[in-house]
Amino acid sequence: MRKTSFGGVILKIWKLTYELCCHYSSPVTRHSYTLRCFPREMIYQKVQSCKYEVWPCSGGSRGRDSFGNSLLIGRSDEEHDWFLVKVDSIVMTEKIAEPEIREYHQLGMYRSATKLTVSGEKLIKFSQKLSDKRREDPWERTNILMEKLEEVFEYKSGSTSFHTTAEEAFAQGCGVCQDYAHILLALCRNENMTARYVAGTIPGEGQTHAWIEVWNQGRWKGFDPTNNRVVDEDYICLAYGRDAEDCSLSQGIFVGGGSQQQHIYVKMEEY
Amino acid sequence: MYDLDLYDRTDTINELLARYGVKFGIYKNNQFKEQLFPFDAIPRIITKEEFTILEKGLMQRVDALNLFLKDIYSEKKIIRDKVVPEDFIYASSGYLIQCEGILPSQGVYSHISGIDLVKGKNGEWYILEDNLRVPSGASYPMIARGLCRRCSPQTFQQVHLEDNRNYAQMLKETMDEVNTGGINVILTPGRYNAAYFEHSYLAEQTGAHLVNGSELTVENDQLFFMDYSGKKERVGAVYRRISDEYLDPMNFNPESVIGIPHIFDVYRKGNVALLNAPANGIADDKGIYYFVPKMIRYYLDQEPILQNAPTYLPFYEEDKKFVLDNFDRLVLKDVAEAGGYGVVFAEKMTKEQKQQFLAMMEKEPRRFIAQEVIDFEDLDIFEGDQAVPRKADLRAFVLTGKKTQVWKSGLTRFSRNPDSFIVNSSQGGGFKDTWVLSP
Repeated sequence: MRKTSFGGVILKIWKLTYELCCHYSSPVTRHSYTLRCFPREMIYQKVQSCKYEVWPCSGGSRGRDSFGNSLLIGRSDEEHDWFLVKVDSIVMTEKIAEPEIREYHQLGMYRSATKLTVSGEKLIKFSQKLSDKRREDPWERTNILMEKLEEVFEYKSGSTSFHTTAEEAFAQGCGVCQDYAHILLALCRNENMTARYVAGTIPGEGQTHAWIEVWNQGRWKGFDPTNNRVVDEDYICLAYGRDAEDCSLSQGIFVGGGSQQQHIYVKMEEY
Repeated sequence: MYDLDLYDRTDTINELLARYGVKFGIYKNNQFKEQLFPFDAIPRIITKEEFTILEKGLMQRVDALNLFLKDIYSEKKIIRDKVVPEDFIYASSGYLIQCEGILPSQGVYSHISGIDLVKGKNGEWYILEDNLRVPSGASYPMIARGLCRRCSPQTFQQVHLEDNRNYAQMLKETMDEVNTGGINVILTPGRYNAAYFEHSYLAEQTGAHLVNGSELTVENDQLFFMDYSGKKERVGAVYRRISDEYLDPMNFNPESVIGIPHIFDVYRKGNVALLNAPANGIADDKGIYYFVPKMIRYYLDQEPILQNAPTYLPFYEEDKKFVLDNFDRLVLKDVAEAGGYGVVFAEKMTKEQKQQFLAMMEKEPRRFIAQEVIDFEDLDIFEGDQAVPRKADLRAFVLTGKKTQVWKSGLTRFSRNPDSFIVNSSQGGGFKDTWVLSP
């Protein structure tokens, strides 16, 4: 184990590849995009290197959004019928001894429901059923909520869309990682916990992943409801926010295009 | 005051207003229609002394609101110190997370504030609402004054009043003071907008380019105006007359076709000023209105000079009790609704409606405010040759660049219907000039 300059201990070093490929059935132009598909600095995560390429849109500029998520903003006016993004990075995940110092003002926004995480009748009922008068530690409580969710919700790919709300997914009883995260956020926030959405990756090949983090005792702790486990050094965060909409990894608008096919490929392996 | 020569010229002035295109558009049954905005020649008159108080009170209020906006999008001390409960911020549709941590040019959020007031029969002015997003209306008294002076110069030799034709100059200075380098533009959604006359008139009067979204483009973190010949000029200030949600499809409503992709990212980097700043909706929310006097005490350590209409928040137990005890004499407003919707007078409710409302209030106390009905002063208008009293309000315009100043005039709107309190232009109301007397 190596010590870092931040007083933490490096647990693992990862090589992360992210690829996004879009095909348009007819050429598009005036294409504006915002990308958030870069590993970001976190107290438990350091980015050693990050290289990216975007075709055919050269240039672009870097920035940060309100959450400090890393952005690439660009535009292409030339006609093109495909769009490709490739990000290669080396990321260290660490264990930190010191609690994170967070100012009060950066937490309140994570206690309020958003459009995607607002509880409807079914989730309110579920929350009430699970309610427990004993004041538990928020992390223990989240673990219990996660267990309970596991019992009534199942993973089914393609059963929801990016715009599906927590209530809608919960009502149909199945969804993907985004839906698991939204529902668990709704349940936590119903109990006035401070909880946020994380978009990121886990080891292996495939898609991006999503989970949540809950604030307690001056630090964030991650919970992965899709896999019903606590987040550890095998998770890399790309973006966080109040819900999936805040963490959209790639956004674009353009003129033309007909139909669009989009492929995302993620590979995360130990370096 | 009823023998002014000006009054004989009312028809001529209205004809001229029509010729200059002083109209506003409304959508009815999905049809766009333009209507004339009837002008009544009897001005609202405000004495110098009275205006001095209004001026101080308005500057104080707008300064506090600007400090509130700055605080809410940065440190949130007012929440930490429990002056405003956090529920009223984060759950409000006016709170835009995208604006967290952004400090606009000169730290100003509301550059052009339209503050609506009424004068009670007791002679006291009350604030009805703050409009900090895209308040319109200044152009009407501006152009009307010019036409009145032209039609009846002798009237203006007889009475001594503050010239209000300097609004364009004030607006230009405000734009210049926050400009980050480049030209000033006024961004309009186009000629089918209700206030298109105003957009074009203010552009002409301030020397700013009148542009639509497709004429602006973002390159290398800067904003450019592209003219018909393809020549590009950098833009440093945008007086945008389109709402937050349509401003930038990459950061707000992705369906917007009138916005400019990435303009918000340029703003975030401090490379352009947006007037007014996005996200001001959090400060002119009906629920937040209740807290404005508290803001004045909190940020400025001063007592409010101008009063709110007496307002109660069922969110607080004490206020809820008052609302229940005095229900029939209150007017109830849904915080989420705007533009005169969601406003009900308790005395006009049926028993069933009352029960329904009280149940809703019990369930979602944050959603409603209750206000005492203000008995406000009538102003005379001409109906033919007869002067008849009608309800009227005043929209004062307060401009903030490096400092805050109040325009020595304002838009006085009146209801033409004798039984109505609603002065909105879209409901067939008219307008008057507002005269501030000078010594």
